[in-house]
Amino acid sequence: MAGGQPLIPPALRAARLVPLRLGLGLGTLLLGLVGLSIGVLFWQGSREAGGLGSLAAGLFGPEARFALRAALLQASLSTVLSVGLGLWLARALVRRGAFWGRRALLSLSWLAMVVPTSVAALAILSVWGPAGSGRMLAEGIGLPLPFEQFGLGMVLLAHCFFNVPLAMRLGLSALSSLPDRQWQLGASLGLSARDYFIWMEWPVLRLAAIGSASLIFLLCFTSFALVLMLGGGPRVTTLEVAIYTALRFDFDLPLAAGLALLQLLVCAGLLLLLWYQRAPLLNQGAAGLPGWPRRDRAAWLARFGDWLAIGLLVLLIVLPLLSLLAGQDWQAGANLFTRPVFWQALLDTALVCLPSAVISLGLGLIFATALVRARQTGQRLAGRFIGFSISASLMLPALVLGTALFILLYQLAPPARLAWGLVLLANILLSLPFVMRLLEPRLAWLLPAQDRLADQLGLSGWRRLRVTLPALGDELQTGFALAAALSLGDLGVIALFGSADFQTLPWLLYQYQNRYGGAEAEMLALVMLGLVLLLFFTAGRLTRPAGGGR
Amino acid sequence: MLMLENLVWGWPDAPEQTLDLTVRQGEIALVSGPSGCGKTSLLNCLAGFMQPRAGRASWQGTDFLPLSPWQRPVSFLFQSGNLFEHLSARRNISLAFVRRREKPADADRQVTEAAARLGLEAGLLDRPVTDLSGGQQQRVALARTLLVGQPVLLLDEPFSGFDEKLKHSAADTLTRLVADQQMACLVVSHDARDCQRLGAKKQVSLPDHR
Repeated sequence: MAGGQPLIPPALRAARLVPLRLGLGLGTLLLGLVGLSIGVLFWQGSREAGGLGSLAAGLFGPEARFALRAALLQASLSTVLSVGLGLWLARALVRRGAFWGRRALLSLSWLAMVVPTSVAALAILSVWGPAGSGRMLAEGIGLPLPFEQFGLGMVLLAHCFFNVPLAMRLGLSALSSLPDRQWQLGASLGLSARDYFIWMEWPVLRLAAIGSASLIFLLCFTSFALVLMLGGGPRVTTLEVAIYTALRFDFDLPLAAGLALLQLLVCAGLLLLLWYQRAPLLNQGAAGLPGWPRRDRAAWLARFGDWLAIGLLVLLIVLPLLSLLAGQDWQAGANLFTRPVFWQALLDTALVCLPSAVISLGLGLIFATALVRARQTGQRLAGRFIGFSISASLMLPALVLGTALFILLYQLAPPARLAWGLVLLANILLSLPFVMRLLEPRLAWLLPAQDRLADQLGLSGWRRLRVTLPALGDELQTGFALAAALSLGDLGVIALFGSADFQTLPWLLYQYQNRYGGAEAEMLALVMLGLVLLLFFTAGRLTRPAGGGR
Repeated sequence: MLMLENLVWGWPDAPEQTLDLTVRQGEIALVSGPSGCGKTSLLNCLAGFMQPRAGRASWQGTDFLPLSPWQRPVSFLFQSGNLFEHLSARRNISLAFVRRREKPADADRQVTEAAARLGLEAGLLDRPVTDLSGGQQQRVALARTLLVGQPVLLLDEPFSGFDEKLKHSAADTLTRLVADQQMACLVVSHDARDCQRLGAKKQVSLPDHR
């Protein structure tokens, strides 16, 4: 035995190391991309007058301090609300067992996590915005809402829309890790709600709370589209929005580099925490908890709390989506389909999201295989390096990556084609961590299970892949749908490079919401929602919910 | 007296089993049979985790099948997973008091005494249960079962994974406890020799219908 792993003959070990080396190479490339992006901005910034001063201002100046404070406040509040409600919901769903709406709620929570951010923003505005149905109803009955039409409250609501389901799923996944016998033991002993929480649920939920809090904080801290669309001005901002302003409106590269460095530092700290806690970015198997009998199920306080939590989830997710559908002016909205710009944006979106999904899937497969092989051959350090390099792509602001590469490459290709390449690259990096973590658990089981037979039959390389791939059918379909959906909804790099020559659907929606608003924007949001649903129904995901993550 | 009258159970789309059995206080009965014949399912039915298809299970004449698991007069010792692994042995045993409205003032003393009766030294009680051997873990679970104080004891393969010496010592302890506490004990095992080890008064062998 070596390092707790079975001893592998040298020839087999060499074969196992091939994907590991490939993964190490690609991981180095990813980390290189992070370094290169920051370096290019520094270099370009320092060439300009006052470059270094501007860089220092980016790191320590009032803009940075303000953006950092605002982002920390917003992300902290979003995290507390999302994790609190998410874990409360996870407990409620476990306690209610196999109740009639469980499957629908899980499907709904999965849907909420893949709805494009710009669509969710518009849906939330249709309820709580200036002319929103919920706001008008509340004002009509003289009920003051605790948040304004735009601002922190709306951003928190939107972040909860996406992250409560995520925290809920991570909580469910943690609770489902408790063996059936423990639930039966709890029932035999007649544990009360408090006993269940203290002795059974909290010990596993504690880890899920830390993991989901770090992940959600990271997502909210780097939030861009939602803050841009719902923040309502400079009062509510994030470093990512400040970078966007510095690049798009002021073209202040050193300031953008300084802000990006600040963001990298905070995100790196959070990712290290996530990595240390081994928190999953995407969980599996959350839907399988059986409804063991529980003494506390009938207690009125538990019943009230559970149904309140479930009701809040429905209000949080269903109400905005329903409002988007119900408030639709179909006739006026149909004008959208007469506009060439819509068809152009649809084509551009397809040209980005389909290749991005395929490449993400390919890279995810390589990285996941490399991680499994690293464990099999006892190469822990290599495995950690690969894991960290994939996570590092999460902390690199897409705008910084896009700008840096644009500066490097703009003399080599026309801007529209360059924009396509940059959006494609940003989208691949966006979905890669999620796709990789979707494939890795299955491969971790599948590869060792098939190894002996494959080795005996002499299956390797492409021939081995042809045997293994069909067994990954579900994960590949879901991974493709997830990557395509994330790409379809991404409003990141396109916000910098969107133009008449190249624009995606989220960018078009952002413009419509800002300039024209109304029926066509809502129709466009519905089209995007429909495309996401189509992707997931095709992958069978919404009818067979198992896990999720944004 | 534990009475099973024409109790019928089985998984959906699987052959059913039927059992008539009476176990008196202080008596041990053994149900044996091949793997997969429905032995554990029988205990799950009696503990309230599975719905029997028909029949009656009563203690002192009262049918307890309509009751919830925590209301039944039974304690169930599973084949595995009897303990919360993140808790100490003492905390695991003291969970026995959860069923009662109030924790007794001398709860700690009762825990120590119950453990001592099963040969568990006080020094072991504050260790995480994962630090204990398989036999010690089984005795921690048994100590909790004793403190719960239910009159019917259900044991699922209680000696699996034990060596021969440990099997004999555990069987002796169990036989003594059942007699002292006047419990009705139903043991399921694939090993028919457990009948002799436990001095079981009755033995039923379930047929293999598969």
